[in-house]
Amino acid sequence: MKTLRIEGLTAEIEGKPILKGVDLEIKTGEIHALMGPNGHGKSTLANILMGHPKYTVTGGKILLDGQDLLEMDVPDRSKAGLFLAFQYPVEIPGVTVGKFLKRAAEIHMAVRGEKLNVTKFIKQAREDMSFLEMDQQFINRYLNEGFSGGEKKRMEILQLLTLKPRFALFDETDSGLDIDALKVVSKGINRLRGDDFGALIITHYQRILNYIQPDFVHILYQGRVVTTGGSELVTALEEKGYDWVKEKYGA
Amino acid sequence: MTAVKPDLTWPGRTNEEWRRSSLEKFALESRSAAGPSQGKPAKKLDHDPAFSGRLSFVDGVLAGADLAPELVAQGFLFGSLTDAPALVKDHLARGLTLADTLASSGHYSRVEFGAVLVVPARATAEAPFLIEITENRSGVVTTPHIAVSLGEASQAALVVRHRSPEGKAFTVDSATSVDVGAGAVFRLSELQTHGRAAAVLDHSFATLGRDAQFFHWCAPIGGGVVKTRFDFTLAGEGSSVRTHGLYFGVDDQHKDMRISLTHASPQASSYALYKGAVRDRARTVFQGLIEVKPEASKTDAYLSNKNLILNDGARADSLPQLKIDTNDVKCSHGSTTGKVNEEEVYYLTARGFSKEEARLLIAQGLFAELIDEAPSFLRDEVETLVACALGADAHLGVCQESE
Ligand SMILES: Nc1ncnc2c1ncn2[C@@H]1O[C@H](COP(=O)(O)OP(=O)(O)OP(=O)(O)O)[C@@H](O)[C@H]1O
Ligand SMILES: [Mg+2]
Repeated sequence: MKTLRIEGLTAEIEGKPILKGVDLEIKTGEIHALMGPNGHGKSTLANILMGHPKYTVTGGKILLDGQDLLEMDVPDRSKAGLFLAFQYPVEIPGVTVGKFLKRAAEIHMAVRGEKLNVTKFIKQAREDMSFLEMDQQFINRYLNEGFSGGEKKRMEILQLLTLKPRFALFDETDSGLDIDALKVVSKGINRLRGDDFGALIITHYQRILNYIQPDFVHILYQGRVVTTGGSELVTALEEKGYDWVKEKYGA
Repeated sequence: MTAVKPDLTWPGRTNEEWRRSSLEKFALESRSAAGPSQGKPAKKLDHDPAFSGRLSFVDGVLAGADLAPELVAQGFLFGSLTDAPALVKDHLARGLTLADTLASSGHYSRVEFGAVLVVPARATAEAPFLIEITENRSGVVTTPHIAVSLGEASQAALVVRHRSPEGKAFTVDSATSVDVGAGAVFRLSELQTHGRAAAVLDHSFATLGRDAQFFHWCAPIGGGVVKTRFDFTLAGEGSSVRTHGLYFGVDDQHKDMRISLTHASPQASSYALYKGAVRDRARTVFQGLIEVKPEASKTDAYLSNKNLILNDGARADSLPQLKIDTNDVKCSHGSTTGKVNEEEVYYLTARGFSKEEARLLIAQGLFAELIDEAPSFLRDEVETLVACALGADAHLGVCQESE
């Protein structure tokens, strides 16, 4: 079992404090859901975990299995087994999905002292793509360029399946997906679910959590995890919105 | 083959085209003309079915030649300038007419050697023609010319390679003149890989007949100082030009490129896509002019220039310009100059790529659509040249160290 532990994390962007003391612990084998109103710091938390340079961490700790994550650069965090499925994946013109995926896989295999076998890689990529109901032609397209919102999200999941991280953060991977795409994406995430995989699913809606049952549900409010529970929290939010959170925990 | 145009002067600092490039760097006055070399007569090259014909010039001398026998029978001409004196005389005279300063007229009054390609009317050559011009001499000005003429409804492709080794300080003052006849289709690809000590001047022009199509691709990779100019004249109704360029400024390289697309007839279309990247202390200048004459109604013209600045201290100027003298046209131009997008870098690093590799990959991606336009047999080589120009490790063993 491995642990991703966040302790008293405070952070700001351009001098504006966003996170005001986040505590959260995710173990492999667990799926956590993180909910909260717009602009309260969910993406900020995900990006700080991944190491986005635009945020400044002003206090607290992030430990990945005892290792100080804040001391590591972005590629090292990825190589240590952390994955972020982006809320808005960027387009990279001129770089084909095939070239990108192969190189990313190669980098991650090198960490384990393995060499990439091209034939095996292509076979696996094809299988993963059909599992995610993606057209094989995507392999020749430029990464995310001209992809629809749903296609971009599937591409994130294809990368997830290729890199098989220890811990994955899904930043609103369900947003903008139709029912079929949501099922496919959930299927992809569930494929990794198991004793060696932990996840944080950031979402506004119950529907993805119907496909991926979370073990814990947290509410991030005004830069803090104000409460943690189970599925009953999701139901409460669906029914009552955030007013009660504001009343109970609002500053 | 010489003619002089009176009343021309050297371009001064006020000359818009030359404002950003120093004429002195081309040493046109201090270096003397190379003159005819004492070469052996051309060797017949073995026929390579990948090419319709090949010509190889080394130090101003035709060193090897080949033309597919079936093309000879059809009346194709592919040889030295002296093989078609009347055509060459006409091309040089027209080049001289276009010249507006001594910097651009010099070539036309001094041409020393070069090649002609004549494609007969209605003939088609499937495989490309290849001309290789290699220079090993120092301290001179060499003046090669290539004259191309495509007859009505003919079709051909020509690849021109200019190169010289590192450490040879000389000036090449070259030009290519092209006539694409009515309904003809021509593809010209130019790859320049001179050493860094070379000074490169080029003033080429092309004239298109009715419904003629001209695909042009160029990659001026080498040279220390480079000043090129390509004038495209869409003289025939319904003619079209697509021109693509990719260029790089590395170390102290200075590259100044100008293209002009003159629409002189109705219904013609032009498309120009030029992309560059600069790093170290290099500077590039791109000047692109679309000129639409009063008679050129229903013109469709597009010009785009994109530049990537890889570090502070490197500089890229982009000067697109429209001159439209008629209504009822569709013209657009745009230019962007910027650095590698850091959000893209973040995305790739989040997948395990190092920052350096991410930057390189993104920069390479910018040129992918231009590499795709390269002749297929050159594609791998061009891809490597691009990667090296963008700073891929020299110790990959594929990038040449220069200087
Ligand atoms: N570049 C920036 N400059 C200034 N403020 C920023 C910047 N980026 C984000 N913020 C602010 O940080 C706060 C937290 O944003 P964040 O994206 O983490 O919210 P979120 O919880 O993910 O919201 P959503 O549910 O809408 O995705 C917001 O108030 C946002 O406006
Ligand atoms: Mg967000």
